[in-house]
Amino acid sequence: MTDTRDHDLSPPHSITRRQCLQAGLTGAGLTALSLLEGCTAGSSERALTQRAPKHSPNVVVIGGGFAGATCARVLAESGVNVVLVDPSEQYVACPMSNLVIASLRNIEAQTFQPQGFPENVTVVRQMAQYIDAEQQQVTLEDGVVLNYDRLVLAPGIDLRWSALEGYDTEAAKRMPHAWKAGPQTLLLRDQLRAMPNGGTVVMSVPANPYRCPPGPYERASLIAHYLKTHKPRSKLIVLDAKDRFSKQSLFQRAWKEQYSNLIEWQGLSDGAQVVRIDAKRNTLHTDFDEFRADVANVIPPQQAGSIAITSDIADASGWCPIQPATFESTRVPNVHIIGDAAIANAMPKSAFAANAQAKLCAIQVTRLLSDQDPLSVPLINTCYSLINPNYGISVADVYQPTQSAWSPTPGAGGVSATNAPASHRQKEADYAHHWFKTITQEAFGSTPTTKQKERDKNRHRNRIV
Amino acid sequence: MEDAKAMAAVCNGCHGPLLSSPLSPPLLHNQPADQLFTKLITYKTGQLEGTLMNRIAKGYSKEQLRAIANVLASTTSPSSTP
Repeated sequence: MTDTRDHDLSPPHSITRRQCLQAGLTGAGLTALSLLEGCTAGSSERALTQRAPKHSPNVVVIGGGFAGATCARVLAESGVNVVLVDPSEQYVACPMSNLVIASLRNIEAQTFQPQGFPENVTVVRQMAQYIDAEQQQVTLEDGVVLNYDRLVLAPGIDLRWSALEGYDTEAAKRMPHAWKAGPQTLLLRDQLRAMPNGGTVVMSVPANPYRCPPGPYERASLIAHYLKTHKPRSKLIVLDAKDRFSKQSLFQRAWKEQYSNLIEWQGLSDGAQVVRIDAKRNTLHTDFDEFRADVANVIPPQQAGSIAITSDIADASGWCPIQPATFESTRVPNVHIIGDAAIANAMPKSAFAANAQAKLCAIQVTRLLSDQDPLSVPLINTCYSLINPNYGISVADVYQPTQSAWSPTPGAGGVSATNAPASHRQKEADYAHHWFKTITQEAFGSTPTTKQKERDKNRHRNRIV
Repeated sequence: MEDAKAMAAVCNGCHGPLLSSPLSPPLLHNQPADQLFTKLITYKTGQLEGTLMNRIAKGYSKEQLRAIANVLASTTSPSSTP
């Protein structure tokens, strides 16, 4: 920590009464209303304001995914008042969504309605639009301004439309990315279902960094599993913008063993980097070749969620540089970035890492707010991938926060044993499911609800591509 | 102590106490500290072979593993933050 400024916990900057009212912060979550202390509030508002301990610090968390929702809970448990800003009533989780694409799982098992937040978390269903780090204010979509003592920014990723020539939102309707779970996941699943036996599936995989490094290869595995089971004369071509990838030897060994002639992977030095998409012809172009697909899955280049870009918290790379131990931005003070949007160096952009970072970040923010030195402790990441429903592999690592980076610990970490027995593969598949249940429970406070299941079933019934 | 709590918080990612089944990794809370510590050390040295605990345990010093074991053992009720 090089930040030596005083942590001013006096009432935040005043905002207009109109803005206070517009905030529409109603119901039980009002304990966080000390945020609005600067208002010349009406009596009911004043009464609510007085409930909050005087000068109790306010933290705004932007983003209600694995990082943001977890961080909000842990912050609140330590007594900090939190306003959690996220526009969505429901969250569709990416981990395990490759099983949905392969028709091995229903999308409702991925769908969560965040709930059960501690009393001192106020959830605001708005899109956060702009962060003014100097004023320590966040402007929401409807014009409301929130003040903060510290801000936790967890906006996840945005897809960089047109960074890959020809791949825009229109093209994605024909050639899904399915890299944000939801309708895109179902579109890809349904296209695979509609494809004739003997068809060709083509995947385009971007260069690093992107969300979930082993994700494309798990997806290739599970699509291959679907094809092998239902359409065995089909083929899957993976066009990769790099030569090396996460758990490569384990994946490639398993592909050979399980899906012999079904998956054809080509890397950068094979000239396989996709440089142009022709959505009208369902065709992917490399510098040397073109691939006409019956079903195409284009995973495009990515960057931090848009608010990080527009508020200049991301650097030229499109991601947010941080001081490792505290996750505080190196570009602006009092803003901490966690999850996929952060540059956490060796730590991958994974839900596990997001959750682990969230817990530590909450501790660090709480300490900084009470003028305690931040801790310096290691973090871990574990990413499970499924080759098939009974065959799991993992990569795990322990990371140390140095002055400039989250660095792997020498002698630790690595991938599952090459010659592990089938019982270990089965165990790791089981552990993957358990991890998903645990982490979603921790972040969203719920298991997928029956009501939600019914609604989704109706909504997606008879969907035809 | 604060360091140990922060280190132990990430164990829950896989060993979450909120939901458990015969297919899940073992629960950690309410196990005696010595038992947890011994197990972590045997993972670290490779005497015991797990699916991935060897890879994790090797990233911590003996003192850190002792501190983590103490925190986990003192966590009596399932919670997201031991």
